[in-house]
Amino acid sequence: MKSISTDNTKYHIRRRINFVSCFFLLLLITIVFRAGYLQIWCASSLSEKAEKQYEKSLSFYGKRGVIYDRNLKKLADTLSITSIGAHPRQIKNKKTAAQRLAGVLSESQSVIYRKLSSPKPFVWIERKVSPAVSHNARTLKLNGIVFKTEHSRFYPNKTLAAQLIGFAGVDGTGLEGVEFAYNNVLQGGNGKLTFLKDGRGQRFESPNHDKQIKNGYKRELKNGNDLILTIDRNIQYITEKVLAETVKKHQAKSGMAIVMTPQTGEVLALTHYPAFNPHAFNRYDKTQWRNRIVTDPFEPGSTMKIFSAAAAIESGQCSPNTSFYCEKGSYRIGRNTIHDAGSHSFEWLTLHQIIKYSSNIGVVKVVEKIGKDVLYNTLIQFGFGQKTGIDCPSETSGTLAPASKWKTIDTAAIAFGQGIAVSAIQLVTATAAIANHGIMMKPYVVKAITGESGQLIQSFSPTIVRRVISETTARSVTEMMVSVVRKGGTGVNASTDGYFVCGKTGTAQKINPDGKYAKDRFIASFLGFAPAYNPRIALLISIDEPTKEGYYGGTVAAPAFRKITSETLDYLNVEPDTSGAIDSGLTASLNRGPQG
Amino acid sequence: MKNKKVKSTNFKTTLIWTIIVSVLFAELFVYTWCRVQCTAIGYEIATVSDNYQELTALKNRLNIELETLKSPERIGEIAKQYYDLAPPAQEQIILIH
Repeated sequence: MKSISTDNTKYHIRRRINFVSCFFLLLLITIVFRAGYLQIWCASSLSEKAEKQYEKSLSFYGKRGVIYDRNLKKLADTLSITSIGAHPRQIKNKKTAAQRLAGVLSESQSVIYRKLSSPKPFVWIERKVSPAVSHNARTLKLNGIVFKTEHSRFYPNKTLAAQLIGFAGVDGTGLEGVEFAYNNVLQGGNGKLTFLKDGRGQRFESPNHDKQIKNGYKRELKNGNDLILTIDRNIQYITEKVLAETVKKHQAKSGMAIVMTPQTGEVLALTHYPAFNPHAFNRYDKTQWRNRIVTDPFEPGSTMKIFSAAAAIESGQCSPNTSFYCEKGSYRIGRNTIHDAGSHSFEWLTLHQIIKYSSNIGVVKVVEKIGKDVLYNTLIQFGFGQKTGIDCPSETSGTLAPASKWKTIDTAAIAFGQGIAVSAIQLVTATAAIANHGIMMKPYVVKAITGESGQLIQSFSPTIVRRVISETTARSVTEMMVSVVRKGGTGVNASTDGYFVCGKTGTAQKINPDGKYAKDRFIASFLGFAPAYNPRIALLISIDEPTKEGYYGGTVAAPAFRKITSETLDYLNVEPDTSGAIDSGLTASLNRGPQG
Repeated sequence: MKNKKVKSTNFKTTLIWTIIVSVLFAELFVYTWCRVQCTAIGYEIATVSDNYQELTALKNRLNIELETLKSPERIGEIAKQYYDLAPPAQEQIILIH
């Protein structure tokens, strides 16, 4: 009986065991199948889902490239600056957070609290803070407060070459100057920065993760390329300093100056006064941002006479010694009467003397002799009425009507620089052609483009545009320009101690809104190169509306030319001219005198 | 005699299982330790990487500061105001050939 009972019990126990075993076996099989299903069938979708949880991506702009001068001195660079933002929903105690943040930021507690109370998912608390402020804010370790790196453009030399370099906006896009013209080169790629984060949002690196993610970052962005300009920071400074002094001294409206290497067309300095601060460009009038040397045409006045003289000599119809009767200072053409400046009443002058004394009537007589077509063709050869092709934005072509439309008075006026509009870059490029034995070079401001690690991507070499005049003509015009700065010439104030220099003065009347020439508003200019017989620089200085201590080019602009030339040649280690000819009239201190 | 043989077999089995389980546990611990180390080093790398980024940014800022300090305008002002210097006149220049 007992045996039957025991067997029955054992049977029941075995059944229960089998039942439980089957249950666990089924459970195990289910788990295995589920695991297999998740690991094999759903692997890719689940991996993606997981990656989204521990990968974080931020949109970034690559760093904007650096702009260097010709000696690799930085003219513009990009700083990485921290901006502080917040995810308001993640902040539990907004009042305390605002109070603590107000202790380190410049914003008040109430302003920060208002921002933190925003219903938006993300708000900026303070953008582009200093490294110290960023560090102090980080030490608060507040939940929901984030620190984002942004780029900010910085110009170490502040206003230096501001109109040439231009500036970039908050989004890192070039808006003016070289920054605008070469925006595609300078601007970094717009990309994504991906990194891994843990449950607490801390960044970490995992060797098992995507191999593209190295050191915790997956970089998909490219920094911008760098630009090397032809500008020399020191020559730019010398020019800006002298220009500012001149404009202030003569209480002028504005001024501009450009220095170029005649043999290559490289622009060494390109200066405007008043300048503007590119860090705060919004505080300045938009007209101040413009690179007027390239964009603005103006009537050049008597500086144009050297090109009329070049036309006369190149045509073979005149030599520097050909004489012209200058009508004792008053010459009637139709209903118009032309006068010589400064109430001069010249009679017979050679072409050489016409340039030296800047006789309007004399140059009109020269042009009457050679004809308007010869003058027009020569001016076209010198590049007037066309863009020079300089790599700066918004270049003007100037205005030069076709010779067929010129009346007699137009031909006369154009011969001495009225009725024609040119840009400063056209004038200096044409003068550089005379300095370069008659060969015109294309002006340029960018020497090379280099990559992020300094490798050369593209270099720009000097480009010959054309031969404008023969070498003999160029030499003759140079001699005439030398005579301008000699005793008795209009530009004697430009003569520089120790160097032969040459040039031409210009005093152009400005046009009133009614279309007539103003009697009290002038542009005083001086255009030349130095040393005269082995030129290293061609220079134009133009002062707009000088009102004090004279208004003639010879009084206002010529002394500025002298200062810039002297300091620049000294800086370039150009050996002074020491031949005996210097005694014949170029020793500045002996010969300088008041001139118009 | 038979009991002794059974005891010996049980002991061997237990020993083998103990060794297997110990090895598995050891592997589990070593693997876990490696993972922990890996994660810790991951954090360290992330921190060092952050430091590197910060130091690079600082270097860039200092370079720009240096450029600002070396600007010709500042040097010119210092030369003029503190040291009373001026560009040399032509007669003050001696050429050495």
